[in-house]
Amino acid sequence: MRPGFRQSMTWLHNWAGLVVGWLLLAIAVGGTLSVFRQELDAWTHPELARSAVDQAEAGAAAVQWLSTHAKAAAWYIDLADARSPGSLAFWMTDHGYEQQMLSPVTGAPDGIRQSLGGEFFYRFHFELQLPYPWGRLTALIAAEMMLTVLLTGIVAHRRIFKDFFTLRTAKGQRSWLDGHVAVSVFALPFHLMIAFTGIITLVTLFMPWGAAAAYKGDQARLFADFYPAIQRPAAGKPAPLAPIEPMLRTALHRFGGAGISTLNVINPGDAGQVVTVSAGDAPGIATAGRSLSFDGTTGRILGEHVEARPAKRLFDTLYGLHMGRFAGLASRWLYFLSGILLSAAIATGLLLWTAKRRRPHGFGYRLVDRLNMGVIAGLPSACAGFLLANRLLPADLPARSTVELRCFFLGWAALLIFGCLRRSEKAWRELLGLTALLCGAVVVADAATTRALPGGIAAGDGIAIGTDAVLLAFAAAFAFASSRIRGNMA
Amino acid sequence: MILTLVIAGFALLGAGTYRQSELVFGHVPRLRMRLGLLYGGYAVLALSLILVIAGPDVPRQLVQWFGLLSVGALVMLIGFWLRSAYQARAESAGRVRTPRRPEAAPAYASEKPKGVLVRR
Repeated sequence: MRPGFRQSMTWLHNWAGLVVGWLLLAIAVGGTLSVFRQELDAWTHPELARSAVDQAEAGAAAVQWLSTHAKAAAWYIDLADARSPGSLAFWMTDHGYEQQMLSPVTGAPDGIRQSLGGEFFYRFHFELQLPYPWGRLTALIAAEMMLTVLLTGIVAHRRIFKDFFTLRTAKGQRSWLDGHVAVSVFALPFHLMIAFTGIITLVTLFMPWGAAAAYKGDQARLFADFYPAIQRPAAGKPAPLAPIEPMLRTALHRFGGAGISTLNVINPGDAGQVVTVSAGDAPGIATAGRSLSFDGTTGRILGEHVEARPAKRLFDTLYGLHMGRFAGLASRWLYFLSGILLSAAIATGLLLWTAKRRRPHGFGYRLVDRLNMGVIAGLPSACAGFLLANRLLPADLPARSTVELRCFFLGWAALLIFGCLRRSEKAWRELLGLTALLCGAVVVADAATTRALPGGIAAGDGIAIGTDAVLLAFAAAFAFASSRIRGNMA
Repeated sequence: MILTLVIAGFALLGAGTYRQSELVFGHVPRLRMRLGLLYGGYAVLALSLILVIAGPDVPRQLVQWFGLLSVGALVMLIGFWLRSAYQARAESAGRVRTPRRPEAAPAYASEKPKGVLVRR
């Protein structure tokens, strides 16, 4: 530590930022992409028609397919809606959760390519592809460090408001500092909000004692209080499931224009089966707190829950603010832009660390420089590689989602190793150039394999146009960055 | 409407800061004028916030307002950067004289002038 408050804060800002910087960047990129999770789901499943969906029919079709193909204690279905062209079903097996995109018309996955799609980036954002609870715990620690880095950064960069619009390019360390301050301050309220609400969403992992004391370790009762819905154990007697469509029509009628977000069937095929339907998001920021439960055997309403507890509404509001589900198209783009600014703030902070140090032959410098390269240039490459694999792998490839995942992680690891083997400035130029190339290649592959680009533009398909436009913008930005590298990144 | 106000507010704020005022006016204006621009910028930003609060669906619009602040600031940053790059190019081509800078120019009234050495 350094003497003096500001110096101590600067020291903490620099080192805390460095230690979790790479992890935070991965989390920020995953979070930024998951703003358009449903749109990415639609993009990665081009076989699904993007047309108006009858949620009651979609739910009934999905349950019909699950009843013959998924023997499990429960089915969880994110129903197709205006944003999601397919219903995403989850169920527990001996090997963990299975996930399947289902057609809203037939309820079957036939002809739909297997892909984790936007769900991968969403899960990666807070689980980092690690088993429970380690991924979430790591993300939580990173979020807490991020809040520390943000608060200490406000103290450390004391001229942030005086130099608000200052960007001096081609001046080495000063340029990185200007860039870092600009992108950090422009979206500072968003950065603080997303770090704080991110901590809140996972805080029970860090501070479980209150709940443990109140519920004496009874997790089921805690869960039932937190997400109230009618719960009952399996009766052990088989019973057919009553028609789902009338239940969903009743729910749609009661929820008004909010629509349905999820459909859960607990104990399917058992006399104790319960169907719970949750409402889509209502006006305001909080995630929906309304659900309707039916007796799965008779179709009779068992109960309705409308969330009114102030503490739970506060949590729902903070959670809703983090998830951005309330956001319309314009707000989602603003979330996306703010996410890019956050990623840029982390990346420029990491680059500033090396730019400040003039010992390019020291081990610490080389380690940080190579890790910077692997994450700042390698991660976007891996994301583009994931999307490219989605377009180029045969649609009927067995275990296709796993192969897509391997393309992401093995590709990323290969780029990290490649960066370590090359001279720094060459590796930076080549990796940034490769990222630009891959982003462009996704657009070309998309046009070549699905005909989405010309057809999409002609049909005014926002998802096709938006995805390709963003990819082309990133390709241009990375190509520009690659062409501007002279000497090392400092 | 809100975005226009936000951009206008940031433009005034930028024109009122020491470094950027030189880019806008070709010289650093007097402190009183810069302070006027700064307060004008804050007032326009406050007006945009008032319009958001007075409108319907305040929580969602407020979140959007914070996002628009980022957009507005980014637009002005790029604007000032392009202006600065243009000016640097023009200076190197000899078309424009290097702008006049006051010797001791405090950014704010409370800031001590730089470069003034006091001997005891």
